[in-house]
Amino acid sequence: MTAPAPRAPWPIGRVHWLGIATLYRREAKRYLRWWFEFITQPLVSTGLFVLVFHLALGPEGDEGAGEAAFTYLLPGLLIYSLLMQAAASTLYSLVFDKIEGALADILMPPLTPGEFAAGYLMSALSAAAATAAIVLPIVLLAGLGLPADPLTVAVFATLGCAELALCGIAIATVAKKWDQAEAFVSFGLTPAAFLSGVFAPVSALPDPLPAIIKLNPFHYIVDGFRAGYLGQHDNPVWLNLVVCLAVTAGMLGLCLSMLRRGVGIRA
Amino acid sequence: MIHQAPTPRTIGAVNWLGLWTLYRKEVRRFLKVIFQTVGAPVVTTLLFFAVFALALGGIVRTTGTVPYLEFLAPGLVMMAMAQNAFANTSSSVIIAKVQGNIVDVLMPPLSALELAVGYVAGGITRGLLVGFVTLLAMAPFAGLTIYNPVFVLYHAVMACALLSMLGVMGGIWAEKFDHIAAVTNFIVTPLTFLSGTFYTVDRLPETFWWLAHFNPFFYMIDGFRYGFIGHSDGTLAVGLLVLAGVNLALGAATYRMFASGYKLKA
Repeated sequence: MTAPAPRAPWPIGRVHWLGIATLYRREAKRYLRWWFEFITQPLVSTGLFVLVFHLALGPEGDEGAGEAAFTYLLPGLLIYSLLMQAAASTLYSLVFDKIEGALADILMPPLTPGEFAAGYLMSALSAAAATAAIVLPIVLLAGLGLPADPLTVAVFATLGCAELALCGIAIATVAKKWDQAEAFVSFGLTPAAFLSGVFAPVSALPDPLPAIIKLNPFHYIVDGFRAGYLGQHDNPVWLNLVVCLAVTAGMLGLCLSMLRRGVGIRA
Repeated sequence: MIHQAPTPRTIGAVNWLGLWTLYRKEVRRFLKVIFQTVGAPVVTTLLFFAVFALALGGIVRTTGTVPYLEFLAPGLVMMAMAQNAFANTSSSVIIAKVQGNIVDVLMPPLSALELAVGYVAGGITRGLLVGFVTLLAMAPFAGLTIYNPVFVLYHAVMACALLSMLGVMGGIWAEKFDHIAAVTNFIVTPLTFLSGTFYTVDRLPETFWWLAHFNPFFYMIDGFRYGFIGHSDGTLAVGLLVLAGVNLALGAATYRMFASGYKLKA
């Protein structure tokens, strides 16, 4: 009996498309497994924000002001939930795999850092798109119209979610424990998101604050998104776009270099 | 020399040592990750405060005759206390169940009452700690003064107890984390958000205003706030009785769950 001939290695082209698609499917299945939390969490939190702000801001005396502030707020709530979803997607998924020891399943296959990042990035963007479908009806019911400039809205939503998803990857690689990932969300992401002009115009704030907020990358995502949605913005749209592109590119470079060196994920 | 078997420890009417040990376990469980269990909720609550104060013009607004921030601060403190008291007991029970180490609590000679008291006291401790730190951090900005300390303390303790018992019951009932997430998302978070934390219920449309007066969460917030600003939306005596009544009922239910071994013992 002769030994079976070794199988010829399977040729992979310049880009391992099948690998990226498989990684993407793996991540998508994760969300489907947690569908209940995935749907209800943004639904309830955005719904509550809308109700609370509506009742707390309610037109008391001056009709116009409360109403305008509320309309200003709604696109902010929408982009806020997308950004948090994008960050949570990559961060929790990677940290979970790392703690469970399942990360080897992704590090062993012949995926380059770029393919690795692409798979996670696309799954995070899909999760954010699904969240948009969940949250959009709420803000529309609350009285927000459709976006004035859908292209600008889409560009800023995509760039912003990409920034956050990459940020999630970077943090997940360095986090050693579950609490470290959670601490980053509670003490880093949430404060940065809250204090970025999501809820109200930055220009109306008392003095040192606007200057500080201009250092917050979230501010440019939110401002660009709102510019597309309502036509209202604090910064010129080109500036928002340049900052978002630069931050995305920077985060991508950082992630790729970390993945290449195996920071936190390879011995 | 013959070794003598140790004589069994005599336990009186109450297993004080066991109760104290369970309580210590519950407190150390959250203190071990204090950044997540106390630090994070304090930061989140302060962010809400900052957003309402700065971005939404809370500084210049008033609710009735009370400056809005002075109105808001006690509401936020109560919200943080309630959510964390619930989170502490519910997560403790469900994690122990899922991981299987609930037997460590069920095996020792602890009665149903001692189990209930131990868990609930742990939840109250976390709730009060979160509330106290949040209050200290917010007080200088909100210009808070205490009008009636008895009301502050009574409502703080009663609210934390109420939510701790709900948490124990939820944790015992739940079979997986999803179930607890559902209770948190659909019951605890909405009720703590919408029962007058951010606005006076006089703002609500007729039906909801009317419903608020049957909501124990409303009385928790309203009475606690009265302790600071000296003004309440509801009738104070009704609130005191509602909270006492609800807590008695929940206490009995929690005790029954432990005593019958519902979803805990085969």
